[in-house]
Amino acid sequence: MRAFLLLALLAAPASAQSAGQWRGPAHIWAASCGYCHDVGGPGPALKGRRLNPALIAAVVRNGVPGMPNFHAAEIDDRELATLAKYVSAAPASTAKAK
Amino acid sequence: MTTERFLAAAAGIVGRDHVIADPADLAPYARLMLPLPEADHAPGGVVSPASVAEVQALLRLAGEQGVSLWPTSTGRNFGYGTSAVATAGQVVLELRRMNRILDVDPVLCTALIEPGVTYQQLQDHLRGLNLDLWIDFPAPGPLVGPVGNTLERGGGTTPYGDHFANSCGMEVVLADGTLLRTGMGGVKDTTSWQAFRYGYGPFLDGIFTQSNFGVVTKMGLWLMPAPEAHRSGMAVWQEPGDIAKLIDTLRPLRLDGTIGNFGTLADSTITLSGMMKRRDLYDGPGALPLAVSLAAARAKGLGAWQYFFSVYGRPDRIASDWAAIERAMKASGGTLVADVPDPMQVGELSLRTFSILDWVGGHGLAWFSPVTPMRGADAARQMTLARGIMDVHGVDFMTGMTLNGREGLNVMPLVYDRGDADSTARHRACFEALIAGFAAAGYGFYRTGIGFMDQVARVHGQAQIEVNRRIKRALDPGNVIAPGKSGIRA
Repeated sequence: MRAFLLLALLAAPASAQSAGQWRGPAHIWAASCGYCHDVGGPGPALKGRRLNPALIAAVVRNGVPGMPNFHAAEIDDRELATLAKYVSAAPASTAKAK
Repeated sequence: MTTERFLAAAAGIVGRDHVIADPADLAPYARLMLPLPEADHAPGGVVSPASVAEVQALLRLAGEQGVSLWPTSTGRNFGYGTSAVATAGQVVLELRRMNRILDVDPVLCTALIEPGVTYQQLQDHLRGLNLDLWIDFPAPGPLVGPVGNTLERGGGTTPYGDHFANSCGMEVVLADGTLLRTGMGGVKDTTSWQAFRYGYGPFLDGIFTQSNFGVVTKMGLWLMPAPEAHRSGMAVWQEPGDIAKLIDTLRPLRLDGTIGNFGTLADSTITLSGMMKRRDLYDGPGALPLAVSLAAARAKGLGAWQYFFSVYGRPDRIASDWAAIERAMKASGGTLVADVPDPMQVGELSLRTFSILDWVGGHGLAWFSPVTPMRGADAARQMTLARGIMDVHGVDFMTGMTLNGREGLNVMPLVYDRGDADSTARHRACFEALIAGFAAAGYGFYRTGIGFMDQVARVHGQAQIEVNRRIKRALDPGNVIAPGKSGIRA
C-alpha cells in the first residue's frame, strides 16, 4: 500500500498550481478563475463575451477593484496569454461556481 | 546597489528565470489591500528557489551581502499584506516553486508538504488517491496553501479549523543555513515526525509562526477523516443587543463539543455583502447606518446576527446534538434554520466569501483581529467599542467572528476604496485607533498585517518585544529574515 502510494505521489506533480506546472488553461480556469467567474460566483461572467485577451491578461496580472492579482510565479506570461485566449474564445460558462 | 548585486548573484543559485529585478515586473508584488502606501512596502526583488539547498544558499548570500529576505509561500496574505514586505527593499523569498507533496499517510491521516503546495493541489491529490480525508482551509482556500496560512496561525471552519494546532513537525532553515527538523523529525530514520507534535524538550514549532526566526521548508499537517455524517445550520438573532446572550448561549455548546466547529458569527452587514453591493443599500455620508443594514437584513429574513455552524459525527450523535442546539437557541430567543449549506464547513473549496472584496468595488481590505474572551459582556463591549470608533471615521462595521470555547477571534474587515486617497487615509487612521482603543480596554490581537505590526507588538508588551529580540539576535543577528515581522528585529 505504502509503495503504491509513493508511486502515485510521484506520478501526480502536474496538479501543482505554479508557473510552468499547470495542465493547460482549462486547469487554471477550474482551479482559480471558475470559483468566482462561473455561474453564480461572486465575480462577473467572463466566458462567452469575447473579451479582449490583452485586457484579460492585464487584469489577471495587475488586479482590478474587487479582484486580487496573480503573480508571474503562479501563472507565467506564456500561460497567461494562453489563458486569456481560452477565456476570450470560450462559450458562456454553464458550470456552477463552487 | 546592494540589492542589485544580490539579485545578480542569486541568479547563479536559482537561475535567471527565477529572479525578478525589473520594476515593472515587481509592481504586482507590491500590490496592497491594506491602507498603506505601496512605496513603503515595495519589495526590492523576488527570488524563487526550488529546493532546500537553494534556500540555504540564498540565506547565506543575503547574510554576506546585508540583504533581507521576506519569505512567502503563495504570497496571498489577503488583507494582511499579500506579498508586500514590512519595509521597502526587502527581497521576497517566494517559495511557490517548492510545491511537492512529500508524503501522505492514509493510516495516521497525515501529510508532509512544501510551502508552495496549495489547498486545491492537496485536495486534488487526496481525491486522486481515493482517500476520504478532509483538509481545512481559510476563506481564500483554492488560491493559498497550508504552510503559509498555518505559519500565520490562520483558521478555517471544520473541526480542524485551528491550523497550527493541527500541524505536526517542521523543517526550518535558519539564517546561517542550519537545517532544523522539529519535534520527532530530529530522530534518525524517524517513524513519527507527523504523529507527535511535541518531541522532546522545548516545543519549538511555535517560535516559527508569526515570526522571522527561520524559513519553514516542510511542514506536517493532520487530515480529518471524513465524518460519517454532518449537518449545517444558521442561527439568527434579531437585535444588536442580543450579542451577549448569544455568546453566553454558544459558549457551553463549544466547550462541550456539541457544536463541532468554530463556525462564523456574522453581523447583518457582512452577511449582506454576500448578496449585494454597498451602493444598493446606502449612498449617503459616513458609515453605513446600523438601521439601514438591519432593515435590509430583515427584509431577507435575517437579523442582526447570524451564526453559521455544523455538527459532525455518527447520525445518532448528530440527532442528539442538534436537539440540544435547538433547545438552547429557543431558550436564547434565536431562530434556528436547518440545513443551510456552507461548503467550507464540510471540506469543500470555495471562494464565495470573496464577494466582500467587491462590497465597495475598491480593492481595499484590512482585517482588524482582536481576541474576544468568550463572555457575553466582553463580546458586547467589543462590538460597541469597534462600532463607535468606526462611526467616528466613517468606516462600515462588519465582523465575521470565529467562536471557540474560551476565545473568539473577532475578525473585522475594513473594506474601502484604495483608489480614493481620503478613504484610504480614514481607514488607516481608523485601524490605528481601533488598535489603541482595544488595547486601552485590555484586549490583544490574534494577528495583524504589515504596517501595523510594531503597534500591535507594543500592545503585547515590552518584555515580549525584548525576549523576541534576544531570540532574533541568537538565530539571525544580521536581520537576514524578514526584519519587522511581528515587530521583531535583532
